[in-house]
Amino acid sequence: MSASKEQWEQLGKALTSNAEALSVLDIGNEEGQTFTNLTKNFQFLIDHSFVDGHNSTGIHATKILDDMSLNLSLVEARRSQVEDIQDWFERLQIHIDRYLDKDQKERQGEVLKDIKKSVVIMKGDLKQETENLQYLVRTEFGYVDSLSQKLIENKYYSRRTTKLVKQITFMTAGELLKMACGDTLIWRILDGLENSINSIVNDLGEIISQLDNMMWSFKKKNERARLLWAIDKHIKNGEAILDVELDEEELMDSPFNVKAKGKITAFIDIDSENLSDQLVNVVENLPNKDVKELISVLANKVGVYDEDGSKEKIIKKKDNPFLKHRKEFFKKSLEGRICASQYWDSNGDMDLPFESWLIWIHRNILSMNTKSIENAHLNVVKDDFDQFDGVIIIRDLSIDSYKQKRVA
Amino acid sequence: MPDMTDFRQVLNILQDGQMICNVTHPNEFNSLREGMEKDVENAFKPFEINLTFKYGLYYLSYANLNNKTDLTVTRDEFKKIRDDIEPVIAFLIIIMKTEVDGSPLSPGDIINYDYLLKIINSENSYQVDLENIMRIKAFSSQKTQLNNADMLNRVLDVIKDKGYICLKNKSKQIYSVTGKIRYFYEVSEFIKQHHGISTEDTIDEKEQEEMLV
Repeated sequence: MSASKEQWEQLGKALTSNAEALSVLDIGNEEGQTFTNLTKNFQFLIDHSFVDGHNSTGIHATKILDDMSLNLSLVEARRSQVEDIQDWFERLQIHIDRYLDKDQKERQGEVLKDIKKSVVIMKGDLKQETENLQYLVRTEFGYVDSLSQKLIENKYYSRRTTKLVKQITFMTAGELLKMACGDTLIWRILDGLENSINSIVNDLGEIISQLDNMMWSFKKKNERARLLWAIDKHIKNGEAILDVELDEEELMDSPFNVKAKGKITAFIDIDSENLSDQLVNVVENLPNKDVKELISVLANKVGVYDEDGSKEKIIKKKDNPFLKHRKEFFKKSLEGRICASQYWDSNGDMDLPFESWLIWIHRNILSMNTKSIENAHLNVVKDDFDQFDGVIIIRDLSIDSYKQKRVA
Repeated sequence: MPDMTDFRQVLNILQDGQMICNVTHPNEFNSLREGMEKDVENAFKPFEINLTFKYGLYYLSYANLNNKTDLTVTRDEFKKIRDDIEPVIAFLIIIMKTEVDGSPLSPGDIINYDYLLKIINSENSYQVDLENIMRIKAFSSQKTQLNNADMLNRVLDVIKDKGYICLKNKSKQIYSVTGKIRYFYEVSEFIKQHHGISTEDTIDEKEQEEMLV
C-alpha cells in the first residue's frame, strides 16, 4: 500500500470524528449538505476526495465515500441476527441438565431464569431475522446498485435461509420433549419455543419461495440487459441488423410471424367436405358488416343466408336460378375443357354474380355421387379477390374432361 | 357464447394488427384468458390465421404462408419490426442507464416523464445520450433547437406510437410499459442468434460471488 501509517490514522480520525455528518451525506443530492459541527480534520476528507464541495455551499459525497458506504451497509445487512443454533441448543441442554441436577437444587431458580431468558432471546432473534429477510425481499435488495450484485445477494440469502430452516426444524417436538426429561416447567418453556418455531418455519418457507421467484426475475432481467447492451454495441460498431430476406419457413417460426394491420383474406379449401359450414362460419364470425351483407347476398342466391340478421342459417331450396345451368355446364365440360368462368361468360345470367354460380356449382359437384363425377378432377384456382374485401373464395374451377374420358 | 360486444371488440383490435396485453387492453385480455380464446380462434380459422398467445400477449399470426399476399405482408412487417430495433434499443439503453440497478424495462413498469427528465438533466452523459438518440431517423424532428424536455417528449412519443409504452396519465405524463416489450426481447433474442452476438461480460460473476460469500 502506498499510503503511510500516518495517513491511515488521519483518515481514521477524520472518519470517526465526523461520523454523524458523513452518515447523512447522499451522493445523489445535488444541493449538498452544510453542517455546524464539522471537526478540523474534515478537511482531510475533502483534500483526499472522499467528499467534495465546501461547507458554505454544500458538501457532497464522492464515489469513493459512496462505495465505502455500500460496503458497510452490505456487511450490516448480511450480519445474521441468530447465533449458531447448534451451539445454542447444546448450551441450552447444559442449562437444563444443571436445572435437573438434584445436587444443585439451591441454584434451580436462577438456572430456570437463565433458561427462560435464553429461549426468549432465541425466539426474538429468530423473529428479528425473519423480519430482516422479509424486508430484504420486499425491497429487492435495494441497497445494491446492479443486477449482478442483486443476483449474488439473492443466492447468498437463499442459502442462508435454507440453512436456517434446516437448523431450526432440527428442534422438533420430540427432541424438545426428550430434552425436558418430563419436567413440567421446562416443557412449558420448550413447548412455547416449538410453537414459535413452527410459525417461523412457515414464514421462512414463504421467504425462500419469494427468493426463488426473485432469483428467476433477476436472472431474466440480467440476461435481457446483457442482450440489449450487446445489440447496442453491435449497432454502434456499424453492423447491419437482419439485413436479409427470410424464407417462408424462417418467417413462420420467427417472432415476425405477426398478422399486421390490414385486410383479412380467407382462403377456403374448396376440396373440403365442410365447405358450406366453413362459409357459414366466415359469415357468422366476420366483424365487418359490409362483408356480412355481401355474403348474405351471395348466400341468398346459393341457398345459405342470414335471415333478418339473426344467426340462423336457412337453406333456400326453391327457385334456384342456377339449376338450369348445371346440366349444360357438365355437358360442355365433358365435351371439351371449359371452366366455370368461361361457361358463365357465355351462358350465365347477367343479373347473377359469377361468384354465386361458382360456389353453387362447386357445392353441387361435391354433393353428387355418380361415378363420372367421382372421377372428375377439379382444377381450382384461388385468388385474393380484392373486391370481396376480406373473403374469398375460389377463382374458378373446371372438370378435367381428359381424365374423365380416360377413366371412362 | 361470449358477450358479443366484447367479442367484436377483441376481433376488431386483433384485426387492426394490435397486440392485446393486460396493460393496453386489460378487459379484453381478461375476457380472452377467461374463455373467449376458443371463439376467437374459431372466428379466424377460416382465414388460416391463428390466435397466438406468447410472451404474455395475444396477437394474430399466419397458420401458413402459402399465399403470396400473406408472405409479402409478413415480409413487410418483418422489415418494419427490423427498422424499430435501433430506436427501441437506444431508448431502452438510456432508461437502463438511469435506473438505479440498471434493470431493463418490464411490462407494467412506470415511466414518469418529469422524473426521467430530472435525472437526464442531472447528468451530462445522459444529455449526450439523448442528443445521440435524436440522430436516429425514427426520432428525427422537423423542429430545430430542441431542449432536453422536447427531445425526451419526442422519444417517448415515438416509442408510444410503436406500442411499447402507453400513456396512463396525460396531465402528469406518466407512461406504462406494455406487454409488447416482451415481444421486443424475443425479437432481440432472434437477432442475437441470427448474428451470433455474444452477451458474455468481462466480469466473472462466479469469482465475484466467491469473494463476497
